[in-house]
Amino acid sequence: MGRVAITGVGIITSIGTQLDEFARNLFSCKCGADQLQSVQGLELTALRSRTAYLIKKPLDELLPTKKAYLDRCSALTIAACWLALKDGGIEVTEDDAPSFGICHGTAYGCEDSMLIFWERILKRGFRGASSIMFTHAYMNTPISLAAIEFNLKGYHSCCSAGMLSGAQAIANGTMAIKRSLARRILAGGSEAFSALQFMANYLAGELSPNDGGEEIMRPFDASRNGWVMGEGACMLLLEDEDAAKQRCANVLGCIGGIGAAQALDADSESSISDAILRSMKGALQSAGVEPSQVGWICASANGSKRIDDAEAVAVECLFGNAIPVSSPKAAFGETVGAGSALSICVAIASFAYRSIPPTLFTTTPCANIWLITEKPMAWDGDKPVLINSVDKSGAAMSILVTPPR
Amino acid sequence: MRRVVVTGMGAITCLGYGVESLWRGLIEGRSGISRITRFDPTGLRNENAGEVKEEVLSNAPLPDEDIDEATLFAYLACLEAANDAGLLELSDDERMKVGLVFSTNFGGAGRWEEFASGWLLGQQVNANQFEQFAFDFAARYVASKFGFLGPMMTLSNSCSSGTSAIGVAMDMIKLGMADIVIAEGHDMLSRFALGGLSILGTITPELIRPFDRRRSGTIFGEGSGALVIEAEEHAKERRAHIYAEVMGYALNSNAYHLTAPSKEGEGMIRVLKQALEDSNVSPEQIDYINAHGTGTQPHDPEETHAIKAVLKRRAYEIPVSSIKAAVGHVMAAAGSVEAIATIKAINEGVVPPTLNYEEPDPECDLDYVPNVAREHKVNIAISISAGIGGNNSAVVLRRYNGH
Repeated sequence: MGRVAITGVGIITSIGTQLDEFARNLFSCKCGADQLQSVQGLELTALRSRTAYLIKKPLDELLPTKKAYLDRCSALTIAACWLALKDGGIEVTEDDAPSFGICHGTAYGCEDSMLIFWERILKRGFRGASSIMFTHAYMNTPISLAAIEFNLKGYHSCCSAGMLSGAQAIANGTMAIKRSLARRILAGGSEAFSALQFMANYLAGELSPNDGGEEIMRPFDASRNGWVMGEGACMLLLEDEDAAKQRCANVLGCIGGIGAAQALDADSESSISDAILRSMKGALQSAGVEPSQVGWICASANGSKRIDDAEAVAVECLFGNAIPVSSPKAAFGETVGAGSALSICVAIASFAYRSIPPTLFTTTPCANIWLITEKPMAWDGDKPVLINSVDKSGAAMSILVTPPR
Repeated sequence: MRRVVVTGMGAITCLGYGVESLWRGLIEGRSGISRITRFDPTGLRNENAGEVKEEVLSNAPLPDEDIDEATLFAYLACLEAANDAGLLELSDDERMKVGLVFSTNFGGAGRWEEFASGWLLGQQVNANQFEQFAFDFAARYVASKFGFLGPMMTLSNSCSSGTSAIGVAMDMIKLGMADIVIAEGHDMLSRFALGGLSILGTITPELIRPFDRRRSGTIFGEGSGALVIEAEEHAKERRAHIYAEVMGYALNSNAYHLTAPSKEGEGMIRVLKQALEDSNVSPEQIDYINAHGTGTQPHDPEETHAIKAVLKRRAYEIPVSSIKAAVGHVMAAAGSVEAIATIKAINEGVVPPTLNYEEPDPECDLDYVPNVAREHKVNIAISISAGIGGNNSAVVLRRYNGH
């Protein structure tokens, strides 16, 4: 069974588009957060949470055609696919199309379209519904449109599992290539900002500042008080390493191993910690890598009181304080379905720039782990990076990305 | 690479709770489609659907928590499948390794409607309603109820979802990520989903008649199907009953249009060929096809054309049936429930009928097992699914021969 190589990336975030701009801003400690007065008609002035990481660049500039897409999540997905294909230096030919697939993750998908569709039913009844809005409101609409746009006729799968959506899609795509069900797959995730999910997360007490203090995302900090929503999209071009070599593709890294586990009790920190521990061990075991061989850990931590503690405990249990740890999320926000693929791109940037980005805004780490703070740390970029994705429910997935040979 | 088998099954549909209720209803030629009672269906193209009625639920082992119907269906199907496979007798450590691949088109749609309506009308809303809408809520709920804490995925490949879940579960086992994975599909009838499918014209105002000349659309249903997918050597070691072998599968996209079928069934032809190739099975070895057979004008000839293009002469020699006129099109659960019906056909030597089939269509000229179940020996069968967005899936199942 061959290895699965990453040969292209499509990145769209609040701190930049594509690897160079994204990495430059990441390593110069830029933060993409903005204070908002209102968003999508939602007045924020009366709320404690008023910050979000939104993409400023007009999406039309990133799309392959002048087509207008009804939903922002679909537009983001198509733009990220287009960027990944260009970055990978590949065009989907009619011959390649049946073995060229797509696996995409999103937690909320086309929620804005869902809301518009539903509002019309509430106002006008079933007969007044809009068929076009409905077909653009499915969770799998973004990949269906991407498949049509780029002639991706092969393996085709959409995952929706909160903050694990993108990680599951990447695992799904990796498995499909390993099983020879596809030769190349665009895999990753996207999430568009939606006022509805903002309000749901706010009411659930997830968003900073859930203690009434300063509104800021401080992963692993003792004084952290919740996370800040972001939007983003990230697609990776995955291919069988032999196929990549055949076309002399630029290999950015390889998927070395995958592990996943659930928490029995989402309210129990020790249960979540145990799930993260099993997930990390699973990824290392499937790659045949010892904890001491890991270069650094790209953590999932986003400022959540429960989850950050659980992850820190799990990391400390498996690695002690011997391996550097960082969470890049304070730079570009909690992008939910896009988060895992973006974290993989952070690992790729760390190989290319031989630097580990810091965990922004964190001054007092909550555990005895080697947390990189304040400024980037130089490293050789020659060891695998372990990427954690942890959902607020305590579900965890870990992906080990190995550096290019 | 490891062989993969099915060691447990569970289902809930409008024909009742349990695989036996489903199978009895299917072979007796009964349809569970009736008027929707959960909400006022006035204004829909058809006020009937394959609804799971209160009397079915009142006799089922319901959990204590207040959960939406979508999660409830998933829980009940998994409970039956887990019991059937003896998973609840496993040690805590063994259960912790059991994986879940769930699938849904609309998640906890009922709770989302409550949240979104409250939001739009300026009323107080509850974060828990939104949380229960999360597409992975059902998998997380089942994981915590039964202690199945292995790798988990939640797919949403529209109406191909249930079949996709079986395939991805098989991948997890073949690649050594797990020894046991529950592959599940679930969906509930909601105003959101039926409102959209109605205005789209997918729903017939009359009877659902798959492959019949007078077909004019489908009728949707709700429920869940769950299959325990397991590594053969693991199942043998713990002496589990093996229902069938999962030989292979395929997923793909027409890459053509969100709702219109591909030209000449090109996508479905490819998915059938790929599934046979992944299974290392030739067209001549296929004994039965459980078709997607929705009863819509464009879909049924496309599927027929694809079956003929791939199976050639064999297509005319074997039965091809659709169970959608009995249980409705149960959306993400369709692939799971239909795989269960296919496995029952393999084990019982009886193929379920296509109900309401009366007038042959020259474009649909295969043997659709009209209205009455038929005895027929099945060694290898295919179950086909397709969905909005233009995706297709197929899974190949085989009688388990013990080696």
